[in-house]
Amino acid sequence: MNLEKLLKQVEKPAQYLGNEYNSIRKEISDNTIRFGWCFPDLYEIGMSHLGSLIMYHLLNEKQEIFCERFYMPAEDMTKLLLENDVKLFSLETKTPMKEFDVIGFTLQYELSYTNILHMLRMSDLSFRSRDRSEKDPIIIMGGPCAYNPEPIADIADIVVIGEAEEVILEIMETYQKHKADKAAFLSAVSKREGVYVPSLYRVIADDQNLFNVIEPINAEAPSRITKRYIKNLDQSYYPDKPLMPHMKTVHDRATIELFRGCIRGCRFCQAGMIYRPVREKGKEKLLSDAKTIIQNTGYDELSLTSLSTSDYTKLFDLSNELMKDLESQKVGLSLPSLRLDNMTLDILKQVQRVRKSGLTFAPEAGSQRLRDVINKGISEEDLILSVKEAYQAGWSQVKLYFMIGLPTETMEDVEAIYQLVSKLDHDVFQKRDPIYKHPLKISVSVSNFVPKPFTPFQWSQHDTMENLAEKHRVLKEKFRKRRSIQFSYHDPETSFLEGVFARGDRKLSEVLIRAYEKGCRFDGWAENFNFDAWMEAFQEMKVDPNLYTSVERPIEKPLPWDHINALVTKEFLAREYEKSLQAQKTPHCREQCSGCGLQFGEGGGICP
Amino acid sequence: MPMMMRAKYAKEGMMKYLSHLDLVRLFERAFRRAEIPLAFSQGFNPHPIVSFASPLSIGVSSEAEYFDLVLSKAMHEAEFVRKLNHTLPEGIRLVTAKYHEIEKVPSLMKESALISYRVEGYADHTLETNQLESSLDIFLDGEEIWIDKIIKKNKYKHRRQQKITRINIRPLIHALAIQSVRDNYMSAEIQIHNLDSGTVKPLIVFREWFHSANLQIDLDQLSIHRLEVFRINEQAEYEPILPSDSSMVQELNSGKRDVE
Repeated sequence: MNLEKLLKQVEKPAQYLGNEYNSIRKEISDNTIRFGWCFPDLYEIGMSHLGSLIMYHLLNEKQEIFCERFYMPAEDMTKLLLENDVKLFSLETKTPMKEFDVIGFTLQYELSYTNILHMLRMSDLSFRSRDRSEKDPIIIMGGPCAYNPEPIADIADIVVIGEAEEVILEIMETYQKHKADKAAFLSAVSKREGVYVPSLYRVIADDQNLFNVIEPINAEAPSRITKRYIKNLDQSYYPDKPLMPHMKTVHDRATIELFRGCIRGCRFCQAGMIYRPVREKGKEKLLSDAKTIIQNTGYDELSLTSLSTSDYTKLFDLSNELMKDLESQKVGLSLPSLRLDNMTLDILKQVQRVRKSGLTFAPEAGSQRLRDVINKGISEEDLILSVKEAYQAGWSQVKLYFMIGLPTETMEDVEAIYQLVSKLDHDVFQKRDPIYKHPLKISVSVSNFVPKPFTPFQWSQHDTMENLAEKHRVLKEKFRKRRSIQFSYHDPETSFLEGVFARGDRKLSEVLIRAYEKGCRFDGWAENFNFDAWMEAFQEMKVDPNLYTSVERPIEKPLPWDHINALVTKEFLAREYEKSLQAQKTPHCREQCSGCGLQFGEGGGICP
Repeated sequence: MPMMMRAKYAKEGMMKYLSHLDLVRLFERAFRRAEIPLAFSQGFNPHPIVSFASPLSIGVSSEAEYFDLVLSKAMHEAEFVRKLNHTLPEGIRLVTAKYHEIEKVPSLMKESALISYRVEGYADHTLETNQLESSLDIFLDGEEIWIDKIIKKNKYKHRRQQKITRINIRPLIHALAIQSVRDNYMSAEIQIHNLDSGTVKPLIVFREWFHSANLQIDLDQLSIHRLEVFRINEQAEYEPILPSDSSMVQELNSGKRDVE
């Protein structure tokens, strides 16, 4: 392969080079197990993904495993690969996927599924697991979207449920024992907790012949697959020499993970449910990790990541001590996912001593009633006070995230978004004390709510595209009058498709393949999204996409993901759903246990 | 008195596909890893104060790239080179460095007067030295070689406007000579002026030559390598901005380099 000839013709060749600082090189012998880690989107997205970073280094810690990486090729590279009859290649050794033993795809968002098919096609691998041969690599999928594995069930050989770093080495151990016999391997691995082998399960239709429901073909495979999770985060593997991208990526900085899970229980949030229970890392561990990682990378920014950073119990001390270490090197701290209600001015002031990034708040809904429905326990006063404090401390950019299409939402709730933002602008900026001279730039981003499995809204109706478009129109009209506020929103059609795949069943595997054959890929990128082609694919496969979105699902009826056990119980989710419809709040986990199911889990009282 | 390190480095192998911005980022991180005493810019977004000489096109390798870095503490040149080379990725390597402690060093941009490249290519037919040389003579004969230059007026894609101007590149070509020819392979060396008013990429010169002589040499497979960037010294002669064979390099090459 004359790689250089291809590289000279593409717009961003850096994404195909490999050999990044801290990337891994190994001697390959007959005993080496070759693992291909695949991120089904561009390098600049995939290289920002912390989970991929952890998995890459964890797998490579094992002497007998060599993990290399694949990313989705940009369109100019796809064209050249096809023209020159070159297969998609790994970054480390430029090897085609077919020569690997095991391939792992991470499912971060539903709209990347066609990209998986594209990467398989560019590697000359069949889409359906049943069409792949004994010699082809084992294809594993995992990640947050794997909690409803059915839409990709015909494609994957194995789906990992939960946190893969807890189980991947066990899977590889089983693989080593049964290398020569795929069927024996799949059967053996299906007995490992957290491992779903879709080919060992069959579809039974429910009584209304609506959704596919799944049961094991024989008694060997477990009837329910229980998620795996790390019990002690302090003792879990975390890469201290992380791979560094060649080019600018979405999150171009060092990262330490403060905790997993979230105490809050926002009812729309899938991450808040599936990553339970809350597990914190110790402050000392984080301080030493931070120091080592900055030393080994030279990054000028350190991000403290988690689902809700201000809920880290020792955040004040941690950020204080970090700043002491980092200030002299002019390394900035970034604190994403701060909550308004307990964000303190002190922490903000600390952080901005070096570098100021924009501040982001997520009130999610405009009216107090709707915020209670989704259990986002933030009041208007909290929000205005927090933004005021931030502004007076010198911040001049505030980003506000809202959702529309939430259950029980009325047009008054939608208009309340505008009213809230106006009031904020008025109280904080227009009526400011004249001692403050700097501007306040407010940007408002409105996304469309998509109901997700394992949330209290898993039974909800997905708002129609027509309704969403009308709500956008109303908001756009209102914000047009306010030139100082930047307003943006998301396309309803992509949200609709995301919703179909989020709560879909096994029938969708064939629709997915048909849509890909019609040219759909990079569906998450507005300029590539082809809604008409998708609708044709549904029609040709005789699947009605509205089946998955347009009706409220009865709580007593089975769901396509009932064979997956995310450890939060259906009873808890149903209870939360009922409460949401009454606009009743549920206190967060540190105030009062809501009995979600995790308290019965291994180790019992590991909840905070 | 500002403390400044002027360094010469090579960008080779696959690293030639890094963009200039990627490379700037790479160095800023390497400086930090190497614990170089950095001076920072003021303001909310402090950055190391570093400036680079004329950026290299993506896909062009070089053994003579330059940057100036402002330091917060004096540092020995050899130590600077050793520490950085210890942490730079394969393909990027410091060649030499020179420490300055004077009020004002002329900027690298201003100093870069002439740039030399080696260009290698393959034709889809056998090449003859005589034919190549005579076509080159015809190409370079006279005072004018006009090309269309596209100027992007707006960097925002959705309203990008393009303006085409005609420029004469002949005065920018200081020298161009064939080095060797073997079967369908040829290599040449070119020296191009880098003027305040502008310069020309070597690829453009070769494209024009091949086109004028009807030579079927694949431009996508052309390998271009920057050999040196020259300044004009007090005697009005061209000399490398930093000579590669300084005593420091000898010191480095004599085995004093740390091995960890």
